[in-house]
Parts: sequence; C-alpha cells; structure tokens
Amino acid sequence: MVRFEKVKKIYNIRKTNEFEALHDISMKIEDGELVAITGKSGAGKSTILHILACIDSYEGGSYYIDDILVKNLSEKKLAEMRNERIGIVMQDYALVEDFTALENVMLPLDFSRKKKRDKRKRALDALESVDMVELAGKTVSKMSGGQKQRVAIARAIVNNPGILLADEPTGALDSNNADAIMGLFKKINEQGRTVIIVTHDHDLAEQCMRTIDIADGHIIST
Amino acid sequence: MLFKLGWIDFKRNFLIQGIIILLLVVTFLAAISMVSAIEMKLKKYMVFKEDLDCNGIYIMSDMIQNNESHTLFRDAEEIKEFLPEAEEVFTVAKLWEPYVNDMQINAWCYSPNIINRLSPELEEGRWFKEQDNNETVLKAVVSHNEDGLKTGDIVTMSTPLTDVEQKIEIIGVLQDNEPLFYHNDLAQPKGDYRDFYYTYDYESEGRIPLFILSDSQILGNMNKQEFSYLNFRLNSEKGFQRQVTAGTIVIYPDNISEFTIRENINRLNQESRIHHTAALSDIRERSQKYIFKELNDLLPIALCTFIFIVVAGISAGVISVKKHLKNYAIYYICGMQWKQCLFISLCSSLVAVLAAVGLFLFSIGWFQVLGKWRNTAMQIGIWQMLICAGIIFCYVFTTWLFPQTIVKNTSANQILKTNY
Repeated sequence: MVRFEKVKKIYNIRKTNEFEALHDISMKIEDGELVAITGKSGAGKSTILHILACIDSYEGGSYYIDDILVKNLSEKKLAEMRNERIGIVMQDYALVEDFTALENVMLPLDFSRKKKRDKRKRALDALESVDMVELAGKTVSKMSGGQKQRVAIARAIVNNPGILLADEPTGALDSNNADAIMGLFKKINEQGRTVIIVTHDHDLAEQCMRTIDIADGHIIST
Repeated sequence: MLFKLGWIDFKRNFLIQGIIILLLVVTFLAAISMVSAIEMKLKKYMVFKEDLDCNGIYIMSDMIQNNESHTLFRDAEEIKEFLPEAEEVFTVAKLWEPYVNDMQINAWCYSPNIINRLSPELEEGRWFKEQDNNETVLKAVVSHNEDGLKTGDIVTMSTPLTDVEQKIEIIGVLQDNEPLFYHNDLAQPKGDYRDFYYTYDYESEGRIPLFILSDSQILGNMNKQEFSYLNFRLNSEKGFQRQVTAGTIVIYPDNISEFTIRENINRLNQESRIHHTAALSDIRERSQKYIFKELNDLLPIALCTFIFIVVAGISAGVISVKKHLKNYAIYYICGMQWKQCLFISLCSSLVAVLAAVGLFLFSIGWFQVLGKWRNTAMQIGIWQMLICAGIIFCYVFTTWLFPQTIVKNTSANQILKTNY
C-alpha cells in the first residue's frame, strides 16, 4: 500500500522564487490497484510520481510504502527502495541507448543487493512477458518507440517490485502502441502489482480502476 | 558492477581515453628519464662524497715522477711515502703494452680504496670482492667488448716488452659507456666530481678492451710467485711495467694547511706532468652546485608534467561525467546511489591507468628485446616506480575530485526532468 499524509513539496526553499508545488496532499492507494493520476500540465502529477519513486524528497507530511515511512532515509535505503520495491517507466523510456534490450533489463538485477542467480534467465523472462524476447540482443537505439517502452516495462518489473510507476508512458507513442502498452499495464496489474500511471490523457485514465485528479498542487477528486 | 560500468564508460570515451593513455605513457617515460638522470649523477657523486668532505687535493696528470729517485710512481703506496703528511692516496696505474691472446688491451690497476668505493654497472658477472685478495689467479673486470671476452674466461696476458705471461680470470664485464674512475688528460676539467670519471667507450677506444685489475690483490700478494711480474717500473726490462697516471686523489688530515698541500704538489710537479689540480673542498662545492643546477633545470619540466597530468585528469573526469550524466540517471532509477556515479568515473580512469601501465611496460620490454634499452640512461628502480605511482595517484585523484562539483550540483531528479 502507498499512502500520502499531507505531503508538501516546496521548490527553491528560502529563495526569491520559492514555490509550493504540492499542498498537503493526502491519498491512499491499496495493493493491486490500477490508478491514474491526471491533471493539466504543471498540476503536480510528475512531482507526486517522483516522490512516490523515491527520486525526489518532500518538505512536509509523511509518505509510506507498505507502512515504511519514506522520510530522512539514507541514500542507500532509498536506492534499495527504487531497486526492489518500485519499478519506474518514464515517458522517453530512460534506456541506455548503446546497451541491448537484455543489458538494459539486467540493470536492476546487477544493482540488487541480494545476490540473484540466473540473472540472465530472469531478464529474458521479463522480456518474454512483454513480448520482446526475440529482440533481447538488439541495441535499443535501433528499436521503435513501442519496442523501447516494452523494454522499459520489462526492466521495471524484472526485480518483482510491488509497485509500478509510469510517467506519461504513452506520451511519445502512436495510438496503436499506446493501446498495446496500456494492455501490458493491465496484464501486470492483474498479476497483483499496484500500477500508478501519471497521464494527462483522459482516455487512458478511464481504463484504470480509479483516477486521482490534481490541479495546482491540490487533489481535486480521488 | 561499478567497475563493469566504468569499463563500459571507458570504451564509450575511447578516443579521449586513448589520448590520455598515450599522455600517461609519455609522462612515465619522461619522469623515469629525469629520475634516472638525477639518480646517475647523484650516484657518481655519492661514491666520493665522504672523501670530498676531507682535506685534500685532486691531481690530474698523465705522469707523476719522483724527483728524488727520478722514477715514475707505480702505485698509491709510493706516493704516500713521498708525501709523508698524506693520509690516503687514490691512484690509477696503467700497464704498458699489455696483450691478451695476441690482442692489444688497456689495463688499469685501481688502488684498494677505489676498488672498495666503485660498483659500476655490469653486463654480467661481478665486481671485485675482498675474498679475491687471497686468490692466486689474478682477477679482472673487463669492459664491454665484442672480442668474446666473458665472465669465467681464463686468459693469458703478455707484453712485447718482456717475456712474461700472467693468467687472468675474468669475473665480470662492464656495461658499455660505464663511467670509471680515470682522468683523460685531453678533457677540459669541469671542476666538479665529473672530473673523477671517464666513460670507456669500446668503439671510441678503437675496439680495444679494457682490463681493470685490483691493487688489493696485486700489491697484497707481491710475495707470491703468481704475482711477481706485476709491479715493475717502466723501462725496468722486467715483468709488466706500470705507472700512476690519470687522476690521483690525496687526502690529508684536517690540521694540514693549504700551504703545506701546495708545497707537496710543487714538489711532486718537479718532474711530473700535472695538468690541473683542485682542492677537494672546491670540487665538493662545485659538485653540489652542479647537481642543484641540474635539479633546478628539471624543475620546469617536472612542473609542466604535473600540470599536464592535472589538466588531463580534470578534463577526462569532467568530460566523462558530463557525457554520462543521462546514463547515471538511468542507473539511479534502477537502484544506484547518485554519488556512486563518481566511482564509475573513477573506475573508467583506473582502466585508462592500467592500460597506460600495460603499454608502458610493453614498450620497455620491446626496447629491451630490440637491445635499445641499454643505450638509454633510463633505469627502473624504486625511485622511478615511486614517481610513476605519484603520477598515477595525481591523475586518479583529479579525475575523482573535480567531477564531484558536477555531481554535487546536479541531482538525478534534475537530469530525469530535463531528459526524460
């Protein structure tokens, strides 16, 4: 379960351009939910996602993952969270372009503190689950957008995280690829993983179980 | 994992890293040359450093004759007898017209104090040891040669002046161009310790090998039948004839005045050909000035080398980190700590250093195989290795230190927001 309790995010603290991006946001996402976080550009969606992903910090309130308070954690602990509990899919894929699909998917396994046997097999299994195993040896730079996003999803789930976060995952894709990617997210959700998608696409949001609307750093509806 | 990613970064930046590798190799070679040059100069000075602290004089001559007996001096003991105030005398005596296996040679007899101080570089074999003094076969160290004279050979020395023969065992072969204690009367004195040395170049000497003999063995065993032919005066028509020549050092007790020393030299010079003399204290002072000047002259080169390495380190580190920030942000998403990207950059630098060391060692090996290494003044000793280690440390430290400013002023979050 993921829980925000009056989370506040302020940029440029004590500077002339200090800006409060999130105002006491409170929300709860249960295990196994498929949730869309929607809002206009600049509403604070990506800020919420980055805090959820332990990529960014926050200034007020509390954020819990499975009852673990994510506050003032060490760099090492945060890295463990990103590696083991959370999978992240970015809009522009965030793949290492000169690595192959397999090498990209193996990255979280290589960074894992737990020694994992059969890393290669696990990575291939992840690629198979997104129908990309035939292209395991292909360099990412030679792939299409849809293929890259599948590889990114495989990398996000290879360590079996409980939570999958996606920031505008279909933003750079055509409608066919977007549908296919959304299909994958649903499939992953059906396997029991919590999936949280940040999107400004209402059609995409409607395919989710629940939508959380954000505007100007406030939750409008959940 | 980090080392693997560092290796991958190294391959991505191969052009810059290749330049850095070549720069490091050149820097190693330059540093080793400088250190070897200084070491060699210091080594030659240190041989006689204690003697240069004494009260004494250095005499450069090609002939020193006793004006009372009108005979040429044969060895250090004779000179010491002639100069009763002298405490110690260092001499080189040359044999007249020696031959080995019908081949003309040069033969120098060093006084015991010179034998004890010198330890020249050898191609093979060894220098004289105290145990040789009790041997009944005369020992010799020969110069580099292409006449087949090598360690272990037993040769027969003869002279056309008389009928005598002498068995000699070769115990070592000098490296070519190894400086030896000798003063060439054609050389212009420099006024410092370099005047003690002469480089015996086999080719320049008309391909005539040099035999160095030890007066410790010869004069210490004159009563023995085996050495009875070795210490005759010139024109004595007996045995191997010899005379003191080249450089002679005379050391006096501290209470002997300069005036007395000068009187001694004037007496010595009555029937001698002394080209030049110099007080040991003057030689010491000039030697120190010379070495200091040499160090000073190398300082700008050393400074440039240091600046080169620092600039290379900064450039390599900063370029590498800036170029790979996007990838580091991806690794961050996958579970890497942000500060660990510095270690990836460091690992990339270490790969470059290892490659440079490997290439450097390969170059030296190649030079040695081609036989060219001997012709250089370079040596690989403890000081050279320390300097190279210092260069490596300097480089690695700068590649680690300066990128920290980039990493500390950037966050993965910023990179992700900008790029993804």
